[in-house]
Amino acid sequence: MENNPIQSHQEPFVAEPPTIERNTNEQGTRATPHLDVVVGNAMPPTQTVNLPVLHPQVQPAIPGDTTDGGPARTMLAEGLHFVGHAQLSGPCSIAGTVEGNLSQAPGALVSVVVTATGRVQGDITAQKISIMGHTDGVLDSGQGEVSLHDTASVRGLVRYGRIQVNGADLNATLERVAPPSSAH
Amino acid sequence: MDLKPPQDTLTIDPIAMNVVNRVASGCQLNGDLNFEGGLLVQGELAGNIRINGCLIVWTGGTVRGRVHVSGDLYLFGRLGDAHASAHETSLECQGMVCVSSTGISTGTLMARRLQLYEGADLQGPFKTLKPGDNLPVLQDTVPNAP
Repeated sequence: MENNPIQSHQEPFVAEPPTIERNTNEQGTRATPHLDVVVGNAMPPTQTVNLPVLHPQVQPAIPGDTTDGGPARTMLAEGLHFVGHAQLSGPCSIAGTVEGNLSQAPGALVSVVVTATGRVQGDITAQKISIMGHTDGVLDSGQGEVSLHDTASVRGLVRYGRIQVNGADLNATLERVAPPSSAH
Repeated sequence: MDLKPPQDTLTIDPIAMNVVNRVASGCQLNGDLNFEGGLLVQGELAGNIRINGCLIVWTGGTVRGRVHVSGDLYLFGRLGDAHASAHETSLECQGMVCVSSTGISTGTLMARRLQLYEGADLQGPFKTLKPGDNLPVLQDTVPNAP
């Protein structure tokens, strides 16, 4: 289909359920009625303002990045090849290559970002996982969030509480971890 | 001031999208089904289904079985039963799959592109179809040839 019927709107909309509004064009260019349906929150842009930089002091902390705002962001730079397992107690960004597992320390809630140049062969366990690069393994956010951006290539298993996918190359099994209170 | 984040909206124009078929709410269709043109499902649809167009599963609508969609899929309702295994329902989409915040899928999904909105409930395997992939991938049940 040539024209994408999904459009981003600037004004806020009611979240749910999908409201049906029968619109007719008043300008006479389109005689047929059509429906406008809310599909959900738009994906944040790939290049967010919260992308990690090498000057953590000028970057405001991302909500939920750390448990108490203590640890600075760990950065694996592009061109670096890391083999082994890592236990994280603070936010982490992967721009290089990791062969091994990244997991959050007991009691810590961390976020892991795999940038467009990043590549992880192994499992990632974190409260917030954002993928723009390549991963092969288990992405486990528990009841946390997983965001797969359009440049992402993900294989394996994805466990999530909330997930957003924006056209990622996905070859994975998805498993939703429902919160204990929800009787889904 | 409580500002809700902007949300995408889908404009459904049945003429432009060539949605010429509809399974209305309260209606149940089961069997080997072939739809020429787009299909709007507000009821229940099951079986071996081929849709030569786009498929819109409305809120409250359910689709089960083996489904082939040549256009896009817009999922506001349910694909597959609530606690069914992933192999009971499989859908191959030659276009984009858009799962809205109310959409629920427990089946196996294959599509060229996936747009999954926050709050969507997607469980089971998903495979991105590449342009070079041989089609179809679905294991359609073929009657024993003589």
